[in-house]
Amino acid sequence: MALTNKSTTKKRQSRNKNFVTDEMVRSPWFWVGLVILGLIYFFFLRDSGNEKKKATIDETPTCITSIKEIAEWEFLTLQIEEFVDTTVNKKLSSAQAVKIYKGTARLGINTKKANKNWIVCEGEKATITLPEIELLDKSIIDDTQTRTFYETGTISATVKEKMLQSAKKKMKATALQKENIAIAEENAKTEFKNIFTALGYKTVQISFKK
Amino acid sequence: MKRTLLIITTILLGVLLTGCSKNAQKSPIEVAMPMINNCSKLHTAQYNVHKILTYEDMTAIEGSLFFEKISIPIPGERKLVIPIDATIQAYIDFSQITKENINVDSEGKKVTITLPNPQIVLSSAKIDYKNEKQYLSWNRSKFSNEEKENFLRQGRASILASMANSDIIDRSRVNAFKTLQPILVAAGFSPENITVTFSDEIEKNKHSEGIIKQLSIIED
Repeated sequence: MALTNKSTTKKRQSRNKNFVTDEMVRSPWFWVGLVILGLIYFFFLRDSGNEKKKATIDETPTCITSIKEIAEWEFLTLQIEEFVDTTVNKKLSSAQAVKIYKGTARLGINTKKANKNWIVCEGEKATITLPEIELLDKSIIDDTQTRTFYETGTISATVKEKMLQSAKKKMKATALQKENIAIAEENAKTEFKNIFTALGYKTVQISFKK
Repeated sequence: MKRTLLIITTILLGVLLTGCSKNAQKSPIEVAMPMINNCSKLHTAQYNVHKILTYEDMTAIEGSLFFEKISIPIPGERKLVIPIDATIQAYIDFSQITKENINVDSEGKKVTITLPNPQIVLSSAKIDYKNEKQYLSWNRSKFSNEEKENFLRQGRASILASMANSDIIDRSRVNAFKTLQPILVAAGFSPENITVTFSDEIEKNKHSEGIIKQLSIIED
């Protein structure tokens, strides 16, 4: 009798040593806890923690869609950042996005737009009529460098496109300010004067096509 | 026991309600003022390229069993596809040219211009948002903006690297000659007396036969 009592107490002790007891399993709180742990895993730990990601970036070939021969002389470069925010209100939800776009506006001349006789040389004098200063690459924005500062909800492709166009419009306005065009004109004059002076011309007269 | 469980549950709920978001800290919006640089760059070749960036990640739970490291892959897919259109231009930096690079002979009939090597720049890029796709299994999370931005940066570098294998540099040299020749002809030099060289050709003591052939075709 004494022996059986000893064995039952041992069993109880060993049960107590276990982390999960029968009593716990019978309790509804135990199952509530398990569900919560599952939810934590699903919402917060799915792609983090002890898990290790093996990222593979597939090197697809870069396809050249067109090749263009250009003759554009850049005289002023503006590296611009533009901040665009948008809110889309729908019947049941709303979405908001704040993006920072990076772009490079290049001001200069397109020599293909020059007059036929844009360079006239007589004796020691060179008269040059340069085409007007313009924005050389109209695309401006490098979208691979766009930073999303804030985004909630689902922003559609059309809205993203509109945001990009809005940033581009702002950048164009910044780039094509009178002061910037004046600096680009001055740089163009200096460059052509240096070239023609090195070629042996003593007087170099430069103007812009209007 | 019930009390202990209640305490644990309360703590867990507290953690859930307060949130464990990693993105709780956000930096203030910093938009830089435009950076203006004076320059003199002759852009001579433009390549428009299209690239489909694809990304896939495999997730595995790592741990140890009997002192052996184990890795159990989590089933489910997480894939991203982003098509990009980019413009790459090759240019010659004229700000590196000094009077010493333009040599006119004593008679004033022959001219030799030594240009620096063409350089490549990704002038603009556009993401095709309409065809951007994510393929996710139910147990995998969406791609965050940070992940996409990091991925796009890698794609940008990959586009520029792939351009090194193209003929953009050679084409840029030929086009530079095509642009400069009419200017020099208008300045009074006859086409046969115009020589345009590039600094790396001199450094390597080689004048690419291909380029010379192309230049002679232009002259014809």
